[in-house]
Order: sequence, then structure tokens, then C-alpha cells
Amino acid sequence: MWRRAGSEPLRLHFAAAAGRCVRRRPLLPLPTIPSSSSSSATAFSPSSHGHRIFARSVGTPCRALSSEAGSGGACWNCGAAGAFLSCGSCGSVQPIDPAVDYFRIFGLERKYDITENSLEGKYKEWQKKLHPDLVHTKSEKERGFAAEQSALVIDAYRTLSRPLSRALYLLKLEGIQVDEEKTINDPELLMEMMEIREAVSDTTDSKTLEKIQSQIKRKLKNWSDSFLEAFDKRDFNHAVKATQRMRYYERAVEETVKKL
Amino acid sequence: MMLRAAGKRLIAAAAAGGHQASPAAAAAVAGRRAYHERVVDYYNNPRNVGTMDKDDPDVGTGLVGAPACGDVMKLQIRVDEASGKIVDARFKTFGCGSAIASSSVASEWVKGKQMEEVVAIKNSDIAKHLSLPPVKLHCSMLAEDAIKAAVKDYEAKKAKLAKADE
Repeated sequence: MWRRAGSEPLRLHFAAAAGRCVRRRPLLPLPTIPSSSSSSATAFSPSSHGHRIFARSVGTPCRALSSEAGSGGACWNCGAAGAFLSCGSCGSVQPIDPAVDYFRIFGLERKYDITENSLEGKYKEWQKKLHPDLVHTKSEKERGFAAEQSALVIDAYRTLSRPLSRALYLLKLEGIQVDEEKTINDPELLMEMMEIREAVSDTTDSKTLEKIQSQIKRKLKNWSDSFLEAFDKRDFNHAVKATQRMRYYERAVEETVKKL
Repeated sequence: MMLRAAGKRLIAAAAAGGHQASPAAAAAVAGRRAYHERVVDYYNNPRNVGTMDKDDPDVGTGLVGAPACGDVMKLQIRVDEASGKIVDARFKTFGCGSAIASSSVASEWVKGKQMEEVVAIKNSDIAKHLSLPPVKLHCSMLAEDAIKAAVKDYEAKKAKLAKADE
């Protein structure tokens, strides 16, 4: 159901504008990289899993390990160090690094239970620096960067602010791609969902709907906690199962919201 | 009732240009991104919506889900024991228009056929019949899986009953 990438530590490509691989002190506080990158080699035996490079290569000659990549390189404009998304010295918007870790953008640890309110402030802060509307006077190249960076930050914000997408993103960072095309046959879950969906579609009064909604939200929370537990234990099978359940419950919540 | 509520959503989806006309007109006007006429038809004139008694020994129930969108699809068949022919079928699907149409088509196509025949029904046939766009192909796949699941369930039931009789 999910494919596990190579058992080596996550490899992220570092795309510096100058095409150099630079190790600098990052501008933002470095989130403590948890055991994910260093111990993954020991936690799983290097079996016959094929190596799968996580991030798309952008043609740079060097590779960096997850702790270094995406932390910002030299500014293309002024050469200052640690230019992450935009340069701290001259304010120039940097070209995007597709391998950048969304958590790093928000200065957060790479974990599931983050405080979702903490995202908005940082998001606005970034947009003040990166938004295309604010770079009218800059070169076409930089305006292009701004459009991309701004979009990237929006994507990061959306991904991290909702539990399910955050969970799936964390799995993706671990190299686990959840195969969502495959039909599932779990009779217990499906029967439960059938009943819930039927109840939602048959109910007419908002009170009952609200009751059902809060029931579903509770279940969603339970599975969200279940995901956290499984993920922390690196029990990815259960983690993936939890995300599937979360998807179904989120969908059901959407239906109740539509009706209310 | 489910379809009515879903029908409104369909009209909203198909009438991208804000037309509030009938779904068929809206589909035609909205252009490429609309649901195909057939899908709209299956939506407005649903065939075989309903439920059979799960515990009836002649009934096979296929219950499948698509994790990508949180859809649930139930297809039930009634089999004539003597001939092995599917004499009736009902479906109930919670999902998008394409999913509902796919399962409706499935419920139509299995009627009057042998079980060995229906497991040969391919998702591509259903998709072609409904002119499903690539992004909705998994809906037809779900319908194909539902058919197989229903047959499997029926056969498992029979085997169990046969064992109990021994």
C-alpha cells in the first residue's frame, strides 16, 4: 500500500543559484533534526529496497544531507550567506529550492503535533518579503522568483495547517508515498462510513447534523492521535492506515458542513 | 435523497459559467470540463439505487472504497442459485458524479449475466461508456472492484453454507 524509499537518510538536493554547494549557518533557527535522518539507516535493515531520491534534481552537481539542504545558500545578488527564501542582507528574493522542508519555512520542528496558530504569523511575515505585488520595481528574474516563492509558502502553509495533509507530508518526507489509487476493502471501515454518510444524507434538522458532526470530529481526533503515536514509533503501516481513516472522516465532516 | 443533494452539487459543478439551466444544457454549455451527458443522465435518472438484505443467502454484497477521495461504493447482486445468473442488482454510492454513474452502469450491466461473465467487465468499458476524463478513471476502477467484491462475497457465502450443511 505504501512504498518505502531507500533506507538511507533522506537526500535533498540543494539548489543554489550559483550552482555551488554551500554549507552556511542558516538564517532561521535550525530545527532540531530528530532521529529521522540519522537513525533511519539503523532502524531499517538495508534490504533490497531500491534507492529512491526524494526530491527532484535541479541539475546541481552536489548533494546535501537533509540537515544541510534547504537552509539557504549564498545570495545571488549580494553574496551574503544563508539566504533562505529571501536574502537577509539585501532583501532579494531567491530562486526556489524545490527540496525545501515546509517545516523549516515556518521555523518548526519536523513533527506532527505543531500549534496550528503559530503558522499564520510566520506566513504573513514571509508574504511581506516574497509576495509578487511587493516586487514591482525588481527585475523580471526576481519577480519570477517572487511568484514561485510566494506560491511555495502558500502551499507550505496549506499543507501544514491541516492535520491530514500535514500527516501525509510527514510521511512523504520519510519517503513513504501513500498509494491512494488502490481500492480498499476494509469492511469495518467501509460499513461505518456507509452508515455515517447515510445518516448525514438522511438527516434534515441541523441539531442532529451537528451532533453527528461532533461525533465524526471526535473520531478524526482519535485517529489523528493514533497517527502521531504510530509515526513517533515509526510504525508506518499503522501511520498510513490512520491517514486513510482520517481522510474518510474528513470527507464526512465536509459533507456535514455542506449540509449545515 | 442522496442523489438530489448530490444533484445540486453536480449542477453547480457543471454550470461553471453560472447557468442555472437543466444539467444537460449546463453540461453542454460549460464545455470541456463538464460531466458527460451520460453521467448527468445517470445522475438524474438513477437506475437501481437501493439496498438488498445483506443476510439473504442469494445476495452478494460488494463494499469498496477509494482512499484518494473518501468515496464509498456498495453494489449488491441477487443470484439465482440454479442457473448462477444474476437476476437483480442494487447499488448505493457516496461520491462524485462519476462514481455514482459508474456504479449505476455496473448495476445495469451485471443483470442477466453469469457471475463468470461479470467478473470480466473491465473498468475501461465503463469509463468508455461514460466518457470519463483521466482524472475520474479511478471511479470506474472502483466499480469494477465492486462487481468482483459482490461476486466474491456471494461465493464465500455459498461456501460457508455448504460447509454448514456437511
